[in-house]
Amino acid sequence: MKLNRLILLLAALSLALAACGGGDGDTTEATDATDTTETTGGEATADFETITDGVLTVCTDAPYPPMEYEDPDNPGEYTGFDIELMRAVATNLGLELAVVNVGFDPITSGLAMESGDCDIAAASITITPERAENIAFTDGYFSGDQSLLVLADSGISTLADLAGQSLAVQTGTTGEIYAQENAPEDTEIVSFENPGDLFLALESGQVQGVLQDLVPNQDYANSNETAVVVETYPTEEEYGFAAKKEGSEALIEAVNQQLAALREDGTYDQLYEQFFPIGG
Amino acid sequence: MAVDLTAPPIQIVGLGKKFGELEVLKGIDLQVNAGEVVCVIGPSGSGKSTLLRCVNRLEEPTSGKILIEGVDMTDPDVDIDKLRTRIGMVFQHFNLFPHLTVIDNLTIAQRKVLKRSKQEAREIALANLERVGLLEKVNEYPNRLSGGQQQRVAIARALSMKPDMMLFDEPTSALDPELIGEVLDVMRRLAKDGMTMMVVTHEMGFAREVADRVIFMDGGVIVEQGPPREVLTNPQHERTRRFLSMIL
Amino acid sequence: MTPRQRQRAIRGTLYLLLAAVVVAAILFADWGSIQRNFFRWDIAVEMFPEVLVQFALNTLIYTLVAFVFGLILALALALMRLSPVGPYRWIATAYIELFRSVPALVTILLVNFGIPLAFGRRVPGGLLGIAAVGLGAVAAAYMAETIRAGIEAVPRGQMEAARSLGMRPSQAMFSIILPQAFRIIIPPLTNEFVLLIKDTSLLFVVGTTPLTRELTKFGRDTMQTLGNATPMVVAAFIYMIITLPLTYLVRRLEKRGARGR
Repeated sequence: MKLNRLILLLAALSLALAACGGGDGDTTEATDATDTTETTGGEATADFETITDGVLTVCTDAPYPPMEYEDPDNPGEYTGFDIELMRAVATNLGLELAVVNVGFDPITSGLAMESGDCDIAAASITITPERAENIAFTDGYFSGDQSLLVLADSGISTLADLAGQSLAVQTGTTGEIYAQENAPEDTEIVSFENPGDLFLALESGQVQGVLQDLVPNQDYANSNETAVVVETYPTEEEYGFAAKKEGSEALIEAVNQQLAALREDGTYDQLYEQFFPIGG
Repeated sequence: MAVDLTAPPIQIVGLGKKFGELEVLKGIDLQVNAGEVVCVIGPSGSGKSTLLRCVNRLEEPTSGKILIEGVDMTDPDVDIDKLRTRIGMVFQHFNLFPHLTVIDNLTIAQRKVLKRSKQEAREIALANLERVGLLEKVNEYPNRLSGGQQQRVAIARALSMKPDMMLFDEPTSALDPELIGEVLDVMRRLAKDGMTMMVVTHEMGFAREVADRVIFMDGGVIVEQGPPREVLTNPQHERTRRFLSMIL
Repeated sequence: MTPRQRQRAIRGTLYLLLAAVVVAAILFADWGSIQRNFFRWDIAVEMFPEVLVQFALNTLIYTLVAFVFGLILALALALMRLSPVGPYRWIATAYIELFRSVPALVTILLVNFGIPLAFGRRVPGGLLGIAAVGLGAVAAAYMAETIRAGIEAVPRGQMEAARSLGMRPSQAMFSIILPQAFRIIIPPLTNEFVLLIKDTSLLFVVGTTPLTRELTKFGRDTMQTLGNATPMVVAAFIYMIITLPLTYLVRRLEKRGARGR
C-alpha cells in the first residue's frame, strides 16, 4: 500500500517538474483599469506586456527627495517628481501604478527589470553610455546638474577646499564619477549605498561634503538650516527612465510618446512647479 | 596579622554551618595541637568534610570561630590568602593543575604567592618530590600519572608551601585499592616527621596506626573522641559502635 | 510485502525521486545563460590579484580587529557576569542581551552615525575602527557567553586548590582557571571567527573608499559595473577557501577536546 502511494507521488512530481520546466507559469490577477482622465495623449494599453496586468510596476531607489520618497500623507505609498510623472504616464496608458523600492544598483545593472521585479525604473537615473549597455533608456526627462553640499559653518565654499578632507558620494552614480575626476588628489571619496546616509555622514562629521545631483542636495538644504549648497556643476546629463535591455522596445516607445504628450499639455510643468518651487 | 606559634595550630570554637535550612555542623569544639595527627571518621552526611573545609574557610562558617595559630580566620578583615599559606590541603580528587607539568604545579604558588625565586622554588619542589618518591616525574603532565602518583604529587605541592599543618579530605577515597598504600605511606612518614595533620578518612588501619586522636562525628556533632586504642577498639557510644561494626 | 522489501522499495523510490529532480534540473536549466551570467572565466581572471591581495585581505583584517577587540571585551564581560558585585553582573547581562538581540547591521550603523551625532566624537580609524568597535561589540556579546560557560566548565576543585595554596582570586583566575577554560572554548571561538568573516560583508553600509572595500562590496561593485554576476561567484569561492579550512579545524579541535586531556 505504502509503495503504491509513493509511486503515485513520484509520478505526480515528475509530471509537475515537466510542466514547470516548459511554461512560465505566471498567474496574474486582472485589475480593472480605473477611470483615467482623458488627455490629448490618452491611449489604451499599447502592445507591451506588464508583469501584472493593468499595472505598471516601477522600481525606484528611495528616499531621494524630492524625486522619490514615501508619501507622508499616504504611508506605504511613494511620491515625488519621478513617481508622479510616472503615474501620469501610466494613467494615460490606462494602467495603475505600483512602486517597489529596490535600490540603485539593481536598477543600473538591469537586474531588477530582468528578474521581473518591475517593468520600468524611475530613480533619477542619469543617462550614460556605460549604463545604456545594460539597460534601455527612455528619452531624457530632466536635466541633472551635480552639486556640492556642506555644513553651513564649515567654511568650505569650493570643491578644492576639500583637499585632505572626505567627500561622500553615492555608489555607482555620475556624482561618484564627477568626484573621482574633479576632486583634489588627496580628498578621500567615501561611497555610500543608501542616498539617505550621505546626509547622515555629513551631519555626523564623517565627511565634510556631499557631491551628488543638485535636486536632492538642494532639497536637503531647503529643509535643514545646518547645510548649504555651495557649488553647482552644470552637466549635459539628463535623467531617463529605464527598462530591461532586451524586449522592452514597445514599452519604451509608449513612455516616450507619453512624455512628449505630458510636456505638450502642461502636466509636466505642473509637476515641475509642484516639486521644484522657485525660491523654495 | 601576626601568627602566634605558641598557640595551638587549630582551635575550633562553637563552629556551626548551615546550608540554607540544613544544619550540617551543630556546634563543634575542637583543638588540634602541634605535631598531633587527628583522624576524623564518621558516616557520610556527618559533616566531617564540611568541618575540614571550614578550617581553611573553603566553606564559610555560619557561626563560631576558628583560630589558626591564634589568628581568628573567621574575621572578615583577615588576610585569608596569607593565612592559607600556613595550611596545606590535599583533596579527594587531587585537583592537580592539568595544564602545568608536575614541577610547575609545585612551584607556581611558591613563586606567585610566597614570591620565592624560580631557583629556590625549584629546589624546594624537587626536595618534596623526592620525599614522596616521585622525583623522576618532575616534567610529566598530571594526566600521565596514576591516581596514587597524582595524590602524592598533590601532597608534595602542598608541602612545598612549607605549611605548619596539613588537612587531608578523604585522600584515598578516589583511589584504586592497590594505589592506596603508597599514599598512606607518604602520610605516615609525614606524621613521623612531626607534621600537624587533620585527616578525614575511612582508612581505619591508618587511623589506628598513625593517629594520636580519633574523632567520631555523626549528625553534625562530635560523638566521641580519644586515642585510637579507645575509640576504635572500645567505643563508648552506641552510634560509634554501630558505625564501626559496619566498617570493620 | 515483508518489512525488508518495503524498506528496499522506499529506498528505491527515494533514489528515483532524487534522480528525477536532478534530471529535471539538468534538462530545464538554461545552461547557456548560467555560464554567461555566473561563470565567465575572462571576468574572473581579471579580478586577480586585487581580489585576493587587496579585498580578501581587507576582509581578513577587519575580521581580525573585530575578533581581537571583541575577545578582550568578551573576557571582561564574562568576568563581570561571574562577579560577586551585583551591578557588574547586571551591566554585563544587559550588554550581552542588547547586542545579541539587535542585528549586527543596526549596531554598525549606530556606531558609525549614532555615536558622533550623540557625543560629538567619531570612532577613530575609519572603517577599521568601525569594524573593531561595531562588529567587535557584537562579537563580544556572543563570545562572552562562550567564555563564561568555559570558565564554569572548569571543575570547582581547581579554584579550591588554587585558593588553598594561598592564591588571590585574580591570580587563581588568570593562572589556573582561564588557561583551562580557553582550551575548552577554542572550538566555539573559532566558530565565532568564521561567523565574523562573513559579517564583515555588512561593513559597506557605513561607506567605503575604493581601497577600503571588503570582498563582498568589491564583488557587488564589480558585478554592477560589468552587469555580470561572475564577480559574486568568485567572491563566494574565496569566502569558501577562507572559511572551510577553519570549519574543518573546529571539527578537529572539538574531537580532540572530547577525547580528554
